[in-house]
Amino acid sequence: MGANGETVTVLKPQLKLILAAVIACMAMTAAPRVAMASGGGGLDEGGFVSDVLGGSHPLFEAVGFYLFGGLAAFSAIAICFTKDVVRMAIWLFATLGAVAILYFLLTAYFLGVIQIIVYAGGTLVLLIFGVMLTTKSPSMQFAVSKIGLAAGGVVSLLLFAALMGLVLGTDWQRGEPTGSIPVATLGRDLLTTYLVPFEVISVLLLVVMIGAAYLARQERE
Amino acid sequence: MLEIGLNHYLVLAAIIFCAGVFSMVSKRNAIGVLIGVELVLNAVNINFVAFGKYSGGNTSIDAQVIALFVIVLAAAEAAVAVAICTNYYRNLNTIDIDRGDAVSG
Amino acid sequence: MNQLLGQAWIPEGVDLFRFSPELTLVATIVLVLAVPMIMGRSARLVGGIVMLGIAAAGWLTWRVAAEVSGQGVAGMSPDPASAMLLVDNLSCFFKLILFFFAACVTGMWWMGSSASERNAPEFFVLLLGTALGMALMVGTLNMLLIVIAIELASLPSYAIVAFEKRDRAAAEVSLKYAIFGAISAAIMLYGISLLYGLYQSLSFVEVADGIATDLATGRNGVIIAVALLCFFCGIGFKISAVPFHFWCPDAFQGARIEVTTWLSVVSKAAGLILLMRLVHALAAAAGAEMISALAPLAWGIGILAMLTCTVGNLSAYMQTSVKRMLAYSSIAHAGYMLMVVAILAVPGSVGAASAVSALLVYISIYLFMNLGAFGVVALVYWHTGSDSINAFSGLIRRAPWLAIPMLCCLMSLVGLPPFAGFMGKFWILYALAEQGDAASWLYWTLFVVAVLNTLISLYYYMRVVVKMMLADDGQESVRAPAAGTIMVNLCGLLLIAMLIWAQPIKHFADRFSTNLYSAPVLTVDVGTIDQTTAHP
Repeated sequence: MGANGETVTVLKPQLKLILAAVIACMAMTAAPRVAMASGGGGLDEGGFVSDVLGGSHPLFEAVGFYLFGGLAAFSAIAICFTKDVVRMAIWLFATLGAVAILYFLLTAYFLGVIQIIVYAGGTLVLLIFGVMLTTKSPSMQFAVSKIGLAAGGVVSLLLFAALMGLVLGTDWQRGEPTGSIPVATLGRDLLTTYLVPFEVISVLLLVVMIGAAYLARQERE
Repeated sequence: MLEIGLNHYLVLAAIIFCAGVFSMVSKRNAIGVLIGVELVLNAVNINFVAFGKYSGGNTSIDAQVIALFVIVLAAAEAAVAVAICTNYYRNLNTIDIDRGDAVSG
Repeated sequence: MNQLLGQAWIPEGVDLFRFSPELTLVATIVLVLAVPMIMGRSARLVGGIVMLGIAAAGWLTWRVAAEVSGQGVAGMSPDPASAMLLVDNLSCFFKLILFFFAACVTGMWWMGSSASERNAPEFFVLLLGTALGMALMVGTLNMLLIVIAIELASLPSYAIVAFEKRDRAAAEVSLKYAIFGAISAAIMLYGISLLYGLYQSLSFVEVADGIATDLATGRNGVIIAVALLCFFCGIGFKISAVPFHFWCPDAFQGARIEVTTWLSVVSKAAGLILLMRLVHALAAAAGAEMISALAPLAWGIGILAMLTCTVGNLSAYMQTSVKRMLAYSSIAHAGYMLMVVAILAVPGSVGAASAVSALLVYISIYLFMNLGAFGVVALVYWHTGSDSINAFSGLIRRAPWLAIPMLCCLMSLVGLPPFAGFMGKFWILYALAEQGDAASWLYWTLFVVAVLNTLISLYYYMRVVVKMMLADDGQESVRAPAAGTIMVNLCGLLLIAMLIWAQPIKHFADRFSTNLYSAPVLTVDVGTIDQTTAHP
């Protein structure tokens, strides 16, 4: 990695290929589902497309879960071991995209779309802006002490072991997996049952936007 | 193994949660810490949506609604935090969170 | 389209009326943004609008309090099982305190900063945003709304701590504050997701019922503990209970003094009342026969309270900045108040009502003590440009009308008679002792720790007093604005008056604390709501 900004290659070519493939997969998986979810308010249960892509075929669901779940987990762990912030952001993009696909597998189509639009398209871009505005060189790194890393690693591994024990040992309530929810139902609930949180969070966004704009603004004097 | 169920998603969420916790405690770059927070929030959302789908009953909509709200909260939090980071950078000329020393005691 | 309109739901007028103080705050936020666009960004104009808005919200709260004095009610949702907002005496009490204090803080700002303020609209949008968040925090048991309310109280406060953009210290502490806050909110959400997975509900009342059933059958004990721990982590951050307190002294020292005053009282009080509600919901669901099952909760909160108190007081030693010392003192006081919350973790306890009323008395007295103390620090700071303890040297000669109220406030913070702080401490100790006799020796331990901490705190408050009264290094006298001097002296006077009228105040607090407990909140409300707004 060149430190002076000229010869910086943020991503290796292979990684670019993998990312392109992932994005293509995401697009292929997402597009028909979105079309169906927004068009008919649900999936047509008999058709080939919905049978294969709708997650109703167990093999497809397994493949989808292991592929994209694996990608999400791998890129999340990769974030831990990356020192360069820009690379962290790219890995986060992979995690967010893979999680969006998992939402599709979970038949939460609207959420998957929102995850891509708001999270990958908004929050992540915001974070990358943050990186750009707070560094002199795009590959700036801070050395973290080995002891700190080791302690953090041990803590996280212990935490992971404990969580695994808890999550797998708990007798969660189970039921028949529910199908997809039409967007109209979600919208109606947002404006009835969840009216108060909906309104409050819009005030929150207004207040936060004013605060963020004020802080980020350069004072002219 | 091939039958994907609730536990698969919960384990995945636990992995992402722990990766997020590790990033939060080990990064010195403030933006890096924020990325860790985003990971934890994603783990939370996977939990919610998976519980909504597999727990039965008609609660699936609650799960998706709260996941939506969490996405919005994450965006709001990132906006404030990034603005504070740029302000920090303007004042201290670094984004290293261990560098601040103006107050102590 | 018609189908959708058929299912539309509009809140009942009475629901909107109960929600009106919050709506007034929202309207004030909009006015603060809109009016300067037409009439120019005059700081005084904005301050005036804020004062009017707060007064209106306070008046409406008073009306709502009269309306709900019989029983707590919940509403603002078509489905009674998922009621979003609670209005009862407790939430009205807190909102009255909140709006009164907001007016005081606006008054402080008016005296100190309004002349040089060029960003008044932004400042008050952020301040009112946190106020709205705190008002919502005390009025809900829905976990989704709890999260949003905590975030609404937190996110603008990160920004408002950084409000002085050229101040290096403010930039630093706000980053620390924001990162701590983001982490604790994320962990809290993970806890909530586990609770949701266990009980498929966002309503904490239903979750508490589920927890009680599970505890009775001995299922899922560990994961419940972990989930609640994560959940309380976010609230612990708000009240700066000990493992989550690191942001507090820094943020309080780096922020503007008005902001410090604001956050030191209401932000913690809101967190405490929220925690109290949650703990009470748990205890109410568990019932009297399950005291031992909830003992870990009582012990957890009790130990946290002891740690918070002791660490706060010990760290306040040797602080050279009075502002920072008061920040640590606010941690210690949060510890005293947490002790009271531990009482509520005992199901069906005799002391619950007296614990709540002790907490309410303490919060209302603490408000005046902190307002007075921070007010004097602000007046000294605005004149000398320093908040170090040396700036207070010889204050009795330089500004007797600042030194005397400061003495009252500090003595009251220690809990010495003849000031009201004594009464606040007394009622807390009384509630602890009552519970110690009835339930467990945990409460006697808390009692002893509280008394010992009071002795420890005597030392560092006295350091300031000694500096003011006995030392004098010949600095020039302090000229303070008349309004400010009157305000801090009023606080000092009130602290004496409140001890004289201790009994009426206690009765008042008793009245405000009973209705939550005589009627378990939701079982009553569900009945009152579903006749009016049944789901279509």
